[in-house]
Amino acid sequence: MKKTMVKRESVFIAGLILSFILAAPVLAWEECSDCYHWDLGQNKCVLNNGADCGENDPCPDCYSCVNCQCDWACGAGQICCNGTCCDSGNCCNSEICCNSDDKCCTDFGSYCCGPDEMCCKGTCCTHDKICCDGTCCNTGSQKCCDDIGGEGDGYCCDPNDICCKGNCCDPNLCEDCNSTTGECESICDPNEFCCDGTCCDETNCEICKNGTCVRAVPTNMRQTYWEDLGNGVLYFEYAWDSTTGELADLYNCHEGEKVDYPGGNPYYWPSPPWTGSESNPTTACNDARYGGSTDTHSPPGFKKPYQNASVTATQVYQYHCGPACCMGDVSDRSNWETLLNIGPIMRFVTGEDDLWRYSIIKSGKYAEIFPLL
Amino acid sequence: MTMKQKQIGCLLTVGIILVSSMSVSNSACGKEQGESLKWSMETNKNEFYPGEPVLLTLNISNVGMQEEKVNFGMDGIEAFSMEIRDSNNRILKKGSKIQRWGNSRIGTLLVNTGKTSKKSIVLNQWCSTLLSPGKYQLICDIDYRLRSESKKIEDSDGFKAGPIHTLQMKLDIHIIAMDAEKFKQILDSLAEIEVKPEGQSNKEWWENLKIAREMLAFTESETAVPYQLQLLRVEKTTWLKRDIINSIVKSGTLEAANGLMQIIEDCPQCGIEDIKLQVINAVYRLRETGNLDIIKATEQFVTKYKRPILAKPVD
Repeated sequence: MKKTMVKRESVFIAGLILSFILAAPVLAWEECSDCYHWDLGQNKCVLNNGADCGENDPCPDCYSCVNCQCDWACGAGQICCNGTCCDSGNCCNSEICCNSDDKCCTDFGSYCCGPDEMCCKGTCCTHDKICCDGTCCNTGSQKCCDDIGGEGDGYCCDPNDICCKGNCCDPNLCEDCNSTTGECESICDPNEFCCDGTCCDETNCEICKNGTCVRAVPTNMRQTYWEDLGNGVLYFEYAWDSTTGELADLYNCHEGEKVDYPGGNPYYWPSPPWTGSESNPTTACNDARYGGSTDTHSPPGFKKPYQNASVTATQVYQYHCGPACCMGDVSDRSNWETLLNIGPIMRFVTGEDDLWRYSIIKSGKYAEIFPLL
Repeated sequence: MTMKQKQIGCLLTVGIILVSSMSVSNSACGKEQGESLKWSMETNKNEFYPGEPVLLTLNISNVGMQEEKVNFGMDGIEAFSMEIRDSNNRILKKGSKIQRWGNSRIGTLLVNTGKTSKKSIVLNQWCSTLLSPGKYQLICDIDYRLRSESKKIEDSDGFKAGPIHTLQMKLDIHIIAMDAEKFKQILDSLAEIEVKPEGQSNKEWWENLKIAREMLAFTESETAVPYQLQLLRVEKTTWLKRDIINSIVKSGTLEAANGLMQIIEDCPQCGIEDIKLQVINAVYRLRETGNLDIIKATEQFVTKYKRPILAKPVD
């Protein structure tokens, strides 16, 4: 900063003398800013006339320094509004200058809103919205949540949502508000899933259909056709329904057979007259959505010399639904439900000398190889 | 004026026929069987990459007076055998009849009067499409039965199978040079069907899913192995799972061996008890490729799991 030196000799001498007597005033005149000089008479810095104000505008609000003089800077009819020139009547709460059409809002400090807007705790909302403590929410499609406790901290949620300290919890997603944490949490148990606001039980094989939890399992399995294919082969066709009425809903479900033979695993056929072995139990599965399956029962291999023999296996058709991890291990057949209990599948070799017969009976249906060569 | 209108009408008709035949990628008409069924076969595309699954769709129209149930045998596939021939009529690939037994999917197709029913099969189940780029001819033989011709067993509600009808259909197949990126895109789009699109009914989804799974199952490529391993974990039908295992084994890769071992060791929820022996056997089959990496990686596994004896079950 450029310092101004008082040059007048008399003043200098007087100042010099005084400076020895009173050190402080001597220091004071050296501190006068631009546009000021030390006035000994007044013993203070006074504004120079006719000089520039420099960097430090010494003028009060709404005055500007011109030629080191403070002149009224606002236009005619304007007032000074917290340091800004405003047209008369536009100074909002002596704090902020609004446009002439604007509205002065004073509900959360001072701020201006447009003529078609309403004041909303620091925010301007159009009239088609609702004011929600500082946030504008859509009328009809949103509701106001103001549960945080402060001012200007409202928020908008969907009408059916639960306000949750700044979060919107959606009951359709089975969410509820944890009032302690302010977090949305699922109301469903680990083995449940949400279906439009309801928790469906996976362990009960429920699916979500048209917004409702419904049990979707195969049902009403029945034999629809059987055929003797010749050569001792019995052929069956089966069909089943879905408890929902639509087979495609059985997307979580297996249908399968389980055949138990009277022995260990593998099961070895009595030999002779037979030969070979079976996995015991023998299992096979189908996607339950097919709504039907076939089953063929063939003769085992034969071995001479033939002798009378019979084997009775036991068959059951079962189902297993649900994500395997929830319903239990799908590999564990004890987790399967009975769909159709067939009971025995009986196979015989009967005869004597050179005349032998192989026969099979299942569900009262019969096929044979005769004579068995 | 009337003539002109008729001509325009005729031209329009021809145009419509052309457009509709263009929308079908490749098709063949079969002989009319009996008096009531009209057969045609088409592919889903015009060109295929080597190993890409070729979806064949049979359209069977019933122009007769009674509904017909066409029996394609167990699992709906026993009726088919295929050949792929080159332009010199040499047989390059031959796929004999496939036999199923025990519990399987229903193999009949109902064709109502005045309606057309569709049956889709994947060519690769019979014949490999790992062919050099070029044009080939597919010959598809079908030996089917009609349920209406089954004979009732006296004093019983059972039947004896009716006569076998034979039909041969021919179709051109165009194999193009492999584009690995596009090939993978095809597999990706098939795998995407596993996720039900929003708004699609369960029924529509299931119809698409069935076909997509069959196509992935029979894809012949190393690229398909991760998809097939994943499919093996979610597929429910035993026979299709066995087919998937075969495709995985055919890849002959270390990834295949590792994936199969993982299914046995780490995936109790996979529901593989019906195919556990086949999976173990598949690891042994992969060792038979002589690939040293596979042999090394499976050493511990084969110590733990003995090679099973796989017999055809009688049920």
